[in-house]
Amino acid sequence: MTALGRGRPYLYLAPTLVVLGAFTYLPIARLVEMSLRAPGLGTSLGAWTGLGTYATLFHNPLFWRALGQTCTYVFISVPLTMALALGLALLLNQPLRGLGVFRTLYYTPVVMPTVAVAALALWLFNSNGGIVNYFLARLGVSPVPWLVSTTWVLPTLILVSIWKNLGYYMLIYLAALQALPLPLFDAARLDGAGPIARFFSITLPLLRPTTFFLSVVALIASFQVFDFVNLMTQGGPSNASNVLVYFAYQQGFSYLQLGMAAAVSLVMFALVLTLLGFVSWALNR
Amino acid sequence: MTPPALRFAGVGKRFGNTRVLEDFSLEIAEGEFFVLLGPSGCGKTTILRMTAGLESLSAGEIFLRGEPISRTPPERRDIAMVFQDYALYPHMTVYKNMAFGLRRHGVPHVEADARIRKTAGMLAIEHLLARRPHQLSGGQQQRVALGRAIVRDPSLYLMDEPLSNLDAQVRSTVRTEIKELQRRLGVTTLYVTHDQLEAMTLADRMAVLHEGVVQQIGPPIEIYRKPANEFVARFLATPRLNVFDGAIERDSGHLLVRTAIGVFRWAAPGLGAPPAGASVRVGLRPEEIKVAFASNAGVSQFPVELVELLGSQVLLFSHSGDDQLVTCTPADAVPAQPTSFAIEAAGCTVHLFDRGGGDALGHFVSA
Repeated sequence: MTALGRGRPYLYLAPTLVVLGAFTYLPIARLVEMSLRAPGLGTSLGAWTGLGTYATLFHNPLFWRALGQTCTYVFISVPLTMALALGLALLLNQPLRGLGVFRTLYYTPVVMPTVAVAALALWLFNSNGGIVNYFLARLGVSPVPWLVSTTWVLPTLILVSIWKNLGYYMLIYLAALQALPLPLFDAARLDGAGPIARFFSITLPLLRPTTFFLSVVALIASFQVFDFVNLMTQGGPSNASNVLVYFAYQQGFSYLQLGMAAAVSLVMFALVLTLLGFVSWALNR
Repeated sequence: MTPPALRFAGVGKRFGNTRVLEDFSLEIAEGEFFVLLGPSGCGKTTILRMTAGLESLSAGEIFLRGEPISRTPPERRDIAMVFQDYALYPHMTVYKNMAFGLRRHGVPHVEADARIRKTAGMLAIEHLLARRPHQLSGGQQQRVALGRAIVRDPSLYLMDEPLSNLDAQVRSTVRTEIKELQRRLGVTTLYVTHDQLEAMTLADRMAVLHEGVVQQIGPPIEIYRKPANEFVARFLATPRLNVFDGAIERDSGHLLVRTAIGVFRWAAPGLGAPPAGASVRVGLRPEEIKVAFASNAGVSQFPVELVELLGSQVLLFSHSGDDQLVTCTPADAVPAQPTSFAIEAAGCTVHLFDRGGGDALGHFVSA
C-alpha cells in the first residue's frame, strides 16, 4: 500500500476532526488554561495563578450550596422522570382505542419552546392567584408558596422540567416496549409468571439498553439545568434554586470572574463524567 | 371412569367477523401424542393458544383432566408450551431459562437444580447450561426450549411447529428425539404442524383441519389409507395428488371406474361402491400408481416431461389432457433415460370422491 493509501482513512476523518477540534477540544483546553490564570475581559488571559482559582472556589459556600442543590435536582428528577416515563409507556402500550391522542398529548410539551413553558409555569404556580393554588384552595388546601419559598422552589422547578421532558423519555420507552418480542411474554405466562413477575423478570431486563441510553441523556441534561432557573427564579429566593450552571453564569457574566466560571464548568464536567462511568458500570454489570 | 386428558367441547373462535374455528370437539387420551395438521390459517395454532390460555374462547369449553380451564389464566394452567421461534429468554442463561418456570411454581431450589440437571442430561445440553440463547445453534435452542417444557413436568405439552425453523438434517433428528422423549415421559402432547410428514411420523392420532373445520380425526395410517375427502387426500399426498374425472360402469357383473389415464376395476363386487352411471373424481397418490416402461400396443403411453430423482425413488411428471400426472417409482425400476411410461391399472390404489362436495365415496386397490 502506498503512503497515500495508508493515510487515506485519516484523510476522510480529517474534516470531522478539524471541526470537533476547533469547536470542542480546543475550547476545553482553553477553558483549562483560563481556570489556571486570571483572565480579564478582552483577549488577555492574565497571569498564571496555579490552582488558586480552585482554592477560592472550594472555599465559596455558595458553590457548595449550588452543587448540593444541583445534586438534589438531578437525583430526584432523573429517577422520577425515568419511572414516570416507563409507567406511562407501559400504559400507552396497551391495545386500546384513542391511545394515539394520549401519545400526542404527552409529547406536546417536548416540542413547546422552553420560554413558553416557563411563562406558563410562572402563571400556573403564581402564589397569589395562580391557577394551581386556586384549585388547591377549592379542595380546601391552603396556598402553597411555590416559587417564593426556599423549601418549595426546587421541587417546583423539578415538577416543571419533568412535565416538559416526560414525553421524550416516554416515547423512547414506548418504542422499545413495542419492539420486545411478544412470544417471550406468552412463554413467561405459561411458566407461571404474573404481570408483576413478567415486568421485573422480562420487561425490565430487556429494556436495559434503553434505560442506559435514557439515563445518560437525562443525567447530562439535568446536570446542565439552567433555562428554567434563569427564566423563572434567577437562582432565588435567596439562592435556594441556584444550581451549578447558573452559578457559573453568574460568576462569568455578572461578576466577570471568567477564571472562576471556567473552574466551575470543569468541576461539573468531571462530576458528570464520573457519574456516567458509574451508570455504565451499574447497568452493564 | 377417568376423564380424558384434554377435551374440547364445541369450541369456537371469532376475531371480529372472521370465523377462525367452528364447533371444534375432540378428546385426547392421557399420554397420547395428538397432532393438529392443516395449512396455514386453518385454525390449528388458535386451538393451541386457546388451550394455553393465550387466546380467549368465543364458544364452548376446554377441559383439562375433567376441569374446565377456559377461565383459568395461563399462569395457573399446568401446561408447558414449545414455541415456533423457541421464545427463550435472551437475557438468561440456559440454566436460568429452565429454572424460571420452576421458581415461579415454587419448586425448592435443591429440587429445581436436580430436575434441571436431569433434564439437561436427557437432552444432552448439560455443557450449554451456562450459555445464553444467542450463543446456541438453532438445534440447540430447540433442545433448550424442549428442556424448559420437560423440566416443568406439566400435565400437558403444547408444541407449535417446533421444527419449522430447523434445517432438514437437524429437523429429522429432533423429530425422532421428540417422539422418543414423549414415549418415555408419557405426557399428553398436542402438536401443531403444517408438515404432513411430521404429522404421520409423530402422531398417535391426528386431526386434519381446513378453514376452521375438522376434516378427519384418526390414526395417521387410517387417514392416509382412507382420507375422508378430497382435501385430506390432497394434503397428505407428496408431491401432489393426481385427480381425474371418472365414470362408474358395470362390465359383466364387475364394477369399474373409467378415467382418462386408465380403467380401474374392483376385485370383489364393490362393497359400498357408487352405483353404475355415477360420475366421480378419482384420486391416485404418486406412490400408489404402478408404472410400466415396456411399450405394449394398445396401452396409452405418457411422455416423460420431467424427472426428479429423490434417491431411492424417482418422480416422473407428465400430462393427461389438462391434468398433471405425477408418479413415484422405486429408482431401480426406472430405465436410465425414460421417455414415456404406461400405467398398470392392477395394483393401483384408487380413491373416489364426490364430484360436488369432495367427500370420499370409497377406496380400493384395483384388480
